[in-house]
Amino acid sequence: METPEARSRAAGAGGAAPPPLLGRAEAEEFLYREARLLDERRFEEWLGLWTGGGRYLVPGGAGDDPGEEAAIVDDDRATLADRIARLRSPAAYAQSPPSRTVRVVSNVEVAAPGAGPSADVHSSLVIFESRLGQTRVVAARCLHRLVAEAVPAEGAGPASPAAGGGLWRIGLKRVRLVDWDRPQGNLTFLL
Amino acid sequence: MARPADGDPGPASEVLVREDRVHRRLYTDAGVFALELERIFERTWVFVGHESEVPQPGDYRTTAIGRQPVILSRHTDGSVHVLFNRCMHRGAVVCRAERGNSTVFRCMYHGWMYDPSGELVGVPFPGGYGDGFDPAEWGLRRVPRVESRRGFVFASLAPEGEGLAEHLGPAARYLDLIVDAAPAGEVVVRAGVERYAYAANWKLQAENLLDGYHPNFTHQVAFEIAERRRGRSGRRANSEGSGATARAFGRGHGALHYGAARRYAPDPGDPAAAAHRRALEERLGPERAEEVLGTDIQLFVFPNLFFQNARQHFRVLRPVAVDRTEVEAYPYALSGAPDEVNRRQVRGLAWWASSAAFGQPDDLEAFERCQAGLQVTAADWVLFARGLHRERQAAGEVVGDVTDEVPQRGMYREWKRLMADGDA
Ligand code: FES
Ligand SMILES: [Fe+2]
Repeated sequence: METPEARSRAAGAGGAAPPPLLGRAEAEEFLYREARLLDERRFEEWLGLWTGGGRYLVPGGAGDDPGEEAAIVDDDRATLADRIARLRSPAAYAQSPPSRTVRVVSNVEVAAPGAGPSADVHSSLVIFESRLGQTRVVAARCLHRLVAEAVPAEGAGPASPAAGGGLWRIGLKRVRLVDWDRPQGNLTFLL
Repeated sequence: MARPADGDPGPASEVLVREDRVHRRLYTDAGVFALELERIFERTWVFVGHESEVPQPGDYRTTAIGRQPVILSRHTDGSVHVLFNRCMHRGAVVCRAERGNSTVFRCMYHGWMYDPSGELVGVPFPGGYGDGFDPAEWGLRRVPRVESRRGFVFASLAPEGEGLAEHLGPAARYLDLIVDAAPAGEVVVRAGVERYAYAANWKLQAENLLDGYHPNFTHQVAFEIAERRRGRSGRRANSEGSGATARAFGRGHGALHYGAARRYAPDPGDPAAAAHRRALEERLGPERAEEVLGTDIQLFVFPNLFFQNARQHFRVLRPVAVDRTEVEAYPYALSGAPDEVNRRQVRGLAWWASSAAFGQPDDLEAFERCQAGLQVTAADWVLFARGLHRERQAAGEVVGDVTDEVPQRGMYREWKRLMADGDA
């Protein structure tokens, strides 16, 4: 995997100063912040991290196409908003009482960004979830496809030079559970 | 039935199940659970898998009938077999993978080899067995009875008994109705699976799948969200007096039939749905096509199979322990229907039936609350009396209001019959 730093250097050899690319430290900060918003149940702020066309996928099969293999989560932005409305309702009984979570995000790597202002960030995710006297561990590999958006919404996070002075937003989040092929317990909290 | 083995002699099946109620020990007693595996799952017809899961020679999938591991396989001659997954040498499970393709099942322990029909085709160092050893006697044991309908393979561990068609009774007609929605006349099971588990008895799910009383309450939030997205609400089909019916067919099978209260066919304004309808009319004629597309049905085939045509999937129940159950929800493709129709349904299933879904997890919460509440010994009975005074007989079916507990009463009549069989 080519590192963003190496790409920056390589591009810089040609003359004009290249735009800075997303580095690991900044990617980590983004993921840590996302994790904190979820653990603190600040779901509406978390939704602000997404692009309008964002997709949130927890595959239920070996592949990534939710029309070919039934997925565990297959949400567009509007469905994510519905999910949050559900989590806020006391009558969503599978989350009443709600899960408490502490998540550990680690092994963060920024893959070579593709064309355009986007970057793939890979990470490992371990969630300790506690509900009704039971604590579970949920483990997954995550892909965040971050997209630079030019217009920062107020209070939506720090502007980034690597995002062209805009903000990084989640265009795709794919959570691949380590035990995706086993019967799952209650996963109605956000991963 | 035999007495539960937990020290307390306990009541026999005839007093555990009454016409309008069942005893809480059906859900909490490990002795009752062990007997259910023996007298229900390892005796009556149970669903094993669909033929389209093993389309090619050598394809197999592993599953279980009650406690006993089995292999559903397709032989090189195209025939489908249900074999016990137990090496005839010293007992190892021969296939570990859930699915695969192999024209030889080779036991990893000492290398005995079987073909997909179960025949023993190879023994390493055979000289060690002498001349009296006849490989024909040492093939994988076959499940005594295997029959299929519309590609759905059922098996029974009882060597004798009524055939599948007789066992299904009116349920067969509804199974046909569901599969007839495929313009090519068959469904294909190849779009993954939703798997979920819950910490409660298997019968809580079995009861719930045909429980038209609970949705307005358990699923209120999901309905509100769906109605907001569609921009319309209105009387829900799972309401008393909606015209939808709950039915029992005998042998524990039953259905919710939504009649005029809710149609199965998607909005005909949609081009993919319109193409589907045209293809179906061509094959079945307009009258049958309308019956198929107009009938929204949920069908339970006792003890472990459930269909919902409007969400184009079936579910398979696996009892694991008295207080643990696993369920698999398989989307099926309607062969000959536009891809768009099938893909949309696969994606829709994630919304309702996954472990993270908007609908089904609230049912599981209810089951776990029941399992906890049923620990109370001050109350013995779980009540299924709703609609008993107003149910009616029609063409071999018991029919009641959609909110009535008609299918549950039917299920427990069969439970009692099967559990009592074997008592001295
Ligand atoms: S147990 Fe299978 S070859 Fe010995
Ligand atoms: Fe339900």
